[in-house]
Amino acid sequence: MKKLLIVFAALFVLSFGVVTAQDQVTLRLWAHQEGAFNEGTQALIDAYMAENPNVTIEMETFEYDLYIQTLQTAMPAGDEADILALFGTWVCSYADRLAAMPGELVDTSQFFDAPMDGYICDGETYGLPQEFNLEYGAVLTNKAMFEAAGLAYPPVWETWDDFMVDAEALTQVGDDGQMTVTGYHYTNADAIVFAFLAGILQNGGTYWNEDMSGFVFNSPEAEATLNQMKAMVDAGIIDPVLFNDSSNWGGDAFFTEQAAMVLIGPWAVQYGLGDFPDFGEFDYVALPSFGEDASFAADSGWGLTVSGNSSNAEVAWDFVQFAAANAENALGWNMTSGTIPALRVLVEDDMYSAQLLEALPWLEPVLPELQYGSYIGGMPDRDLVFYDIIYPTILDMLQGLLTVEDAMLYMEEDSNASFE
Amino acid sequence: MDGIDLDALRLYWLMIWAVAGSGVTPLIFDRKNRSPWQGALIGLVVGIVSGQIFGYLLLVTLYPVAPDLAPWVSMIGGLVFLIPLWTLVPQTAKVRLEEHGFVAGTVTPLIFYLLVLSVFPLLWALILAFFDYSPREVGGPFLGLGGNNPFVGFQHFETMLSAARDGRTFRNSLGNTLAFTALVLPLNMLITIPLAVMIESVHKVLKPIFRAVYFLPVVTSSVGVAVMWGYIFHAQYGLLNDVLGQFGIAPIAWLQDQLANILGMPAALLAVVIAYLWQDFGYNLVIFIAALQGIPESLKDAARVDGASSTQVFWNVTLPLMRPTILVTSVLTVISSFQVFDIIQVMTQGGPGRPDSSPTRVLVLDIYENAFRYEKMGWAAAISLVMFGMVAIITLIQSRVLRSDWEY
Repeated sequence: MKKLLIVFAALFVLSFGVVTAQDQVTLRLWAHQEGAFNEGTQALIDAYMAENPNVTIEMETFEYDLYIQTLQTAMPAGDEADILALFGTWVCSYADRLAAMPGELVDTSQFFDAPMDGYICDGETYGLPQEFNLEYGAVLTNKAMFEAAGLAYPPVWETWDDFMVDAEALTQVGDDGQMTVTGYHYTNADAIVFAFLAGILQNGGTYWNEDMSGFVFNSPEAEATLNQMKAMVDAGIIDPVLFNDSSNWGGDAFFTEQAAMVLIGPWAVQYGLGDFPDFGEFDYVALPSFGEDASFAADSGWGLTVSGNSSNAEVAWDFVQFAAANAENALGWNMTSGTIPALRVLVEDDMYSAQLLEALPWLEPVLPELQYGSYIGGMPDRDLVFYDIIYPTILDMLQGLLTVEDAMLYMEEDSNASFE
Repeated sequence: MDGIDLDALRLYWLMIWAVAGSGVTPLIFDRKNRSPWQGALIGLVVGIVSGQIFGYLLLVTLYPVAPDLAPWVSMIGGLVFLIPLWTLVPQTAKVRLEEHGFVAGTVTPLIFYLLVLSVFPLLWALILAFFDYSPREVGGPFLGLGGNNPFVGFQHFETMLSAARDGRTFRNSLGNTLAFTALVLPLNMLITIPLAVMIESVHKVLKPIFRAVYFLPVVTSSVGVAVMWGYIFHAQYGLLNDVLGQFGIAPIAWLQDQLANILGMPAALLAVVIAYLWQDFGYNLVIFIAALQGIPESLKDAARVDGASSTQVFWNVTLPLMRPTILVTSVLTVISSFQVFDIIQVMTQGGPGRPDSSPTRVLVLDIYENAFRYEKMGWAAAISLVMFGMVAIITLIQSRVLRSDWEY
């Protein structure tokens, strides 16, 4: 036994090895799987590594649902990547585990308020947005279907009545009485939520209480909006049982010609063209406003943040700045991912906007709408409120299972409970 | 060490060297006339300590010169203390008659695995049920409990009975799970027992063919099964609506329409029950066939000699003798019905409708959504605890009701 103890002691003493200093910096970047987004990010990584040969950035991607699960298990364990691509509206709920932007690294007024505000929590900036997430303001239209219905193209709608005439003409019903083509698909989860919020704003109301500590969904403006949404169902331009987020989702319905018009963000175009490269001509067309101005609420879109556990936060922030605040780099990412820029100069400068529109011509009617957008506001759990409360409740109302009054009561009560 | 996930490596070092240490050391101790159980314990501790210390030292020493190789080489860190232990531990003169080296070497690593991978997560879930825990929040220093993840006592269980949205959704999920189980269990038994008897009665050449055909859905991916049935029940292009259309029946939005029902049963719930049964019944069928083959032919012959018809033999001899098997299969079916998730997640995503009124929102889906989508781990753990209790109670009742006091 004595020999055994001597051997153990000797090994212990010898084992205190040497750790050498590292010149090479390796960063990990996590993002959700989305072909065009990932392609754009990889191009930024390659460009950054070419400029900074001592830095290696490895991108790891996860399927969307798995990404959220991975974040929530990895962050408490401190295993997350140095750079995290996050949806802006989530950022404040992860802020405790993120690194705040050092000093005056980037002037945040360069970005549109709607995407930027999601990254600012209690006065600190926790990331930079790469896209302006727009889900309301313009509608995707199928040129061939308009022409087949004998309608003018591109359409110009001064009022909702003009819009409804076209939508009714575009709707088709089969011999068995089932709707085969919806004239206007506005019943995706995001479409319902953002149409509802925009309707409240455009009707002159607000969906926040005074100190933004709760929602106001039981109001005359909300009622007017819901009545208008229901009137569209009653007019027969959509069957909300057959066309919604889980059945004939808007993006699929549009690119398979089951929807002549769909309310969906431009991000869906790259996705649709990826699956249906031979799809015919399409455009975005601005929707009429409910009120005098075209105000709408917008999520803060995807952007880059730095983990609070990163041992190379300074280098990580340098990459974030390189990717999101440098106009050339940000433009390249937007053009590849097919998204609307968060950086003002890319929209307001003619040279940049011309490049953008050359790559993504369908954005032309969308860009003038950006000025009307405002950030939806911070809430404890945006996904819960949007997808488990507002969307299913309004869909139930559209399907005739709830009255408008009941829907408003449910939404206000259940959404406000999420603040407790 | 950029790009090195140290926590993951620590876990590898722990699992590898705990098992190697506690698995091999008892055999060596046994050969040296030492107590193998003592060897298992010493091997476990030495393996863990050596794996952690020398794994880390090998990693930091090698990383500067061979960063790709270093994590792999660090895996042998446990051997640094274990090899001296195995080679230098002295043999005792004492003669041992009982040799339990193999037993200690197999049982100890398994107990260790069970403790780490099953018992600890169970205890963790039990603890979480009394905390308002979310991995998003930075909690106290001990396991993240406390701080922004406060102790809430029985608050989650009170919420289950309240009018709050979470309470309403929980009660709807519980009701749907019970309804799902109440449909699946009798339907499964009604299909599988007669089918097993019929298959048992065919020519022996055909038996394996039937068994294989009926068992195939069991080994098929649940997601694949759900996608297939999703197409069958599709409102616009579904096979079922096509067939119904031939008889002049108007198409039904099986999975989307909350108002659609068959004999008062929500169509969406019925659709997922059918899909689930189709995939699951082959499992019980094979068990019943095995049970039927175990019933002595002499008992049936005796009944036939006494003038019993085939039906009487089935009801009065075969079925009672299958009672222990029916108990096992019904317990397993209830447990698996309570755990239904994948088929529903793919076919309806817990819809149609709001979570507190949807006909296919079940408990496991509620747990999944709250834990992994909304990150309300404490609330999800409390639902899991209730589900565990319900399965335990139902299993206990089944065991009492179907208990038999005899053997053949």
